[in-house]
Amino acid sequence: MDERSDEALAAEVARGDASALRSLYLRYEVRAFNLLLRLTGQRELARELTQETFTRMWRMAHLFDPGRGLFKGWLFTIALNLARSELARKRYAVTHVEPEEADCVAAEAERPDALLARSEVQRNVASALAKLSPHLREVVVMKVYQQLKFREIAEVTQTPEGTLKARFHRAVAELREHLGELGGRA
Amino acid sequence: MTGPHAEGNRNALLDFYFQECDPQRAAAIRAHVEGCAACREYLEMLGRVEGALRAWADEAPPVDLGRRVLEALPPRPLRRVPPARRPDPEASALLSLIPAMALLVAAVRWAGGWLAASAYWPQLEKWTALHALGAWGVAALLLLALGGLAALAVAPALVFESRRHARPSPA
Repeated sequence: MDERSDEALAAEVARGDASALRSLYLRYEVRAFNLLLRLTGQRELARELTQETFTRMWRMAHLFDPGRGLFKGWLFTIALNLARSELARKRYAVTHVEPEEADCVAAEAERPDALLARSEVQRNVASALAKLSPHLREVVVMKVYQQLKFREIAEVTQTPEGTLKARFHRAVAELREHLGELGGRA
Repeated sequence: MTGPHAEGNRNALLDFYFQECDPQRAAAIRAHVEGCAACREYLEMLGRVEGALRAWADEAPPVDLGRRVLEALPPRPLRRVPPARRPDPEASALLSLIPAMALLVAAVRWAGGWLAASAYWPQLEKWTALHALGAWGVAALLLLALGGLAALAVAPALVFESRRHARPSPA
């Protein structure tokens, strides 16, 4: 286990040290993958975007400035921007297909084995999250699952804290509806 | 605080719920919540929704993801190295010119003396321009002309030599 700080490892990555990248990958693979999984709702897409996140980190490590924030926030910013681009692209594509085709696209998005691996409750939660608009989903995922502080989410998303909190309230209200009994709504 | 309906109050409740406020503020909010049913209900609702969301636990990434990430790393792009800054000229370089200047003055002086002592100088001095320059001036001009001729003679050899060094060696 590498005991160097994230920032020290990032500096090594910037000098071209692949073993430092491996250490950072082992530290963040689960968090980065699950962040992207919950933002996109698709395992295969989350896998691709996780790979791209670390590839970009490798390419752009020299741009990371520890004086401007933590490495964790910088990495999540890369992941979030990739997810946003991908979701914007897909949304544009899906608006041009018929409803029946859209259902097919949604069905293909998740492999059956991945869906079966989740319990009924997990599927309901995933479905409720998917119904949120991307901005609301982002703040919920980063607050509840990544357990970032609102200040940290503000850094990652470049959004004022007050706006994020307002979005969180709105997201909670919508999730309460979507989750039904799970969310405590009779 | 009047309840969770005002945005500022809801934000304070969020900070309290996620333990993002200082202990003093947290104590004040706790005291308010104990006597406010609406805020208590709001916090309970937050807890229920968060609890439900946490039912979707972290999933394990695909087993081959790490290998794919590390094997597919592109080569690092070559970063342009900025040209090295040319060092400022040092005063010591100028000091090294002093002996050369002294040698030149000595040479002019010697040549001027030799010219003045020669039998031809009275004849040469009849020319107004040479008379104005004097023996030393004429000697200096002669030395400069000789130096120029020597530089012209050596220049082709120097150019040829510098080109020979600049030519890339065969692979």
